[in-house]
Amino acid sequence: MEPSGYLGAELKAWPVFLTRLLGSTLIAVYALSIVALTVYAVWYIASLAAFLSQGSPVPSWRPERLRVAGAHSGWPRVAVVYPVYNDYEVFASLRKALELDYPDYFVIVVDDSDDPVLPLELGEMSIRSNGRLIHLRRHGREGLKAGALNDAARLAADMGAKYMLVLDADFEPPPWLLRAMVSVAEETGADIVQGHQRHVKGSGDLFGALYRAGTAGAAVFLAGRMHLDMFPIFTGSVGLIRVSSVIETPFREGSISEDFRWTIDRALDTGGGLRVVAVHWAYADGSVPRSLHAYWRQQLRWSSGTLAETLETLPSVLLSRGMSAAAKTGYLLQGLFFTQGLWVYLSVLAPIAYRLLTGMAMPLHWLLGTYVWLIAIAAVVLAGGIGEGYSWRRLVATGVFILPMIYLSGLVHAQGTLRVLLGKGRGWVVTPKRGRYEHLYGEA
Amino acid sequence: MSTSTARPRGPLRHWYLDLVLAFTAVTIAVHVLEDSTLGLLLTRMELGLVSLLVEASGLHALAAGYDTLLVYGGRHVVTIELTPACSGIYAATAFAVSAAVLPGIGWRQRLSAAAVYAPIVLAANVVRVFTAAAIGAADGPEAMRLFHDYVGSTFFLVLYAVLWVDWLYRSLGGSKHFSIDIERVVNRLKG
Repeated sequence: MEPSGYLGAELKAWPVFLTRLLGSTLIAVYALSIVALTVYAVWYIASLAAFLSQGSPVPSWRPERLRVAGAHSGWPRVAVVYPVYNDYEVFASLRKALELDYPDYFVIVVDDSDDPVLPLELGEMSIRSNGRLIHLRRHGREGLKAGALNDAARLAADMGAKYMLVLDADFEPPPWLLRAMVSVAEETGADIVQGHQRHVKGSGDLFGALYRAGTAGAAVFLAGRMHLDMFPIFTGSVGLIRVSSVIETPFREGSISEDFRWTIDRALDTGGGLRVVAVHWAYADGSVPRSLHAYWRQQLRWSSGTLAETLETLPSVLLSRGMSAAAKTGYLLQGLFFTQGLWVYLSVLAPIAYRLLTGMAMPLHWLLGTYVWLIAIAAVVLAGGIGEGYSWRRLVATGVFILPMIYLSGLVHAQGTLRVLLGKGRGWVVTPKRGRYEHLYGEA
Repeated sequence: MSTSTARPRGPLRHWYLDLVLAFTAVTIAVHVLEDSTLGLLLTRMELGLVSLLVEASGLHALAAGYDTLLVYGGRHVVTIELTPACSGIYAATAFAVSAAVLPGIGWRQRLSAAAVYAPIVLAANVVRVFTAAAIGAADGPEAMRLFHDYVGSTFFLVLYAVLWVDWLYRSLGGSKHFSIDIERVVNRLKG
């Protein structure tokens, strides 16, 4: 028997109320997801347009000017820094690094490896290098990559280096790289000149081609952001950094997004005066992640690390008086970058949940935001492919493959976002790469 | 403050905000167009183009309302409903309006977006809808849905992105930034 009177009316009304409340919440979540995706789409398009319109700075500086300043070789001393953890690809990279066409530089390998053979080989290579390669052996991986970079910066400062070029273990620099990047740094007075992490090695298949075009697109995107004054960042590799900047603002030890965190800390320490110059043409050749599994773990680290650093620094940045509104907007968009994965899945799932709940299609089901977002990402990646000289056939194949990959990457980014929001732990993982030494390490 | 030394010049500093406002305007404009009589007329016109292709292919088409078409003459009869999300008119409008509001573009380039690129978008969508209909008439609604949801949509999005990059590239002169011979520049530096 059903209850009657007031109780009966309440029991009938509450399910209706809750259903409508949930339905309205789903509509709001959907609308918010579309707005978030559109805001990011506009960021991609504005940056791409700014790059196509302005390019990125090209050296026009003359070395004679520096000779007047009294530098020994006419060029400032530079330390090329390789932080390494059990990565055999560093041997190929070191060979190239020791062949750089630059008058005054040395190489520091900061070796955190617990592999039994790699440190011995690096030590041998250092002995044979006639002082050009310094094997800085560390134990216990104190401070992770940030700790390694800080130790390298201190050593570089002691040895009189003005700049340090940070390269991940798999990155092979072309001979002209230092001269070109130092020229831009001297000419612009930049704290950091950020180059292009060109993932050429292992880019022969479709996944590799997409990854390579994606990172080329990222370099273009970063250069565009520089013109828009929207917080271009140090991306962890192929960055020429003024050593004094790192001494004054060390990398945050233990951070798993030490590159992004350093950009934030430095911007705050300088009252918003950090000068980042992004140049798309300055590249070093690196390796594509070895497999989809390796890619997944890399993206999980990036997404959780970036969001965690953003949540830690949000009040300081928003209250900073020195940073412009555009820079704060850029910081927010970068900090919440990987939440796009969550937004895109919410935009897919909210209408489905609404239909299951109410039996009707969601009102205001408006796909334009999602389409614009997909097209904007594809446009940036295709621009990267054009920059890499892809043929039309390869460009189209990349363009087709990018769509499922966006949703796959979205899934891992959503996972990384949720891990941080739920307070789950996050840790450093080394991404196994393709390359001539890939058979020497597993994919644990 | 600036995070870059290459300080944004002139209107570049406001590009992002300008574009956010412009895209909001585009969204509202397309939404209004969708609900207007003009929108219905344009949808009917696009469906008319699909009908022409259907008839030319030897199948038959019957309009059922301004946005619905019955396609028959094959082994199956299928119904096509041209929703705003599927319509090329809105996609073409979005292309032309986005191009019109993008800062730093000359009027000739804006005109080319409306006169050349937007019609290509519309034509591509007509072909996509026709192909879906033809596949449906031959192999049934499930095949049509499969094509429409995955193959056709992918084709359309990729084409749209390619056209967008191509237009931006031509309009902003991007090729010169991709063709820097940096080794030559550095050799000059070495003196």
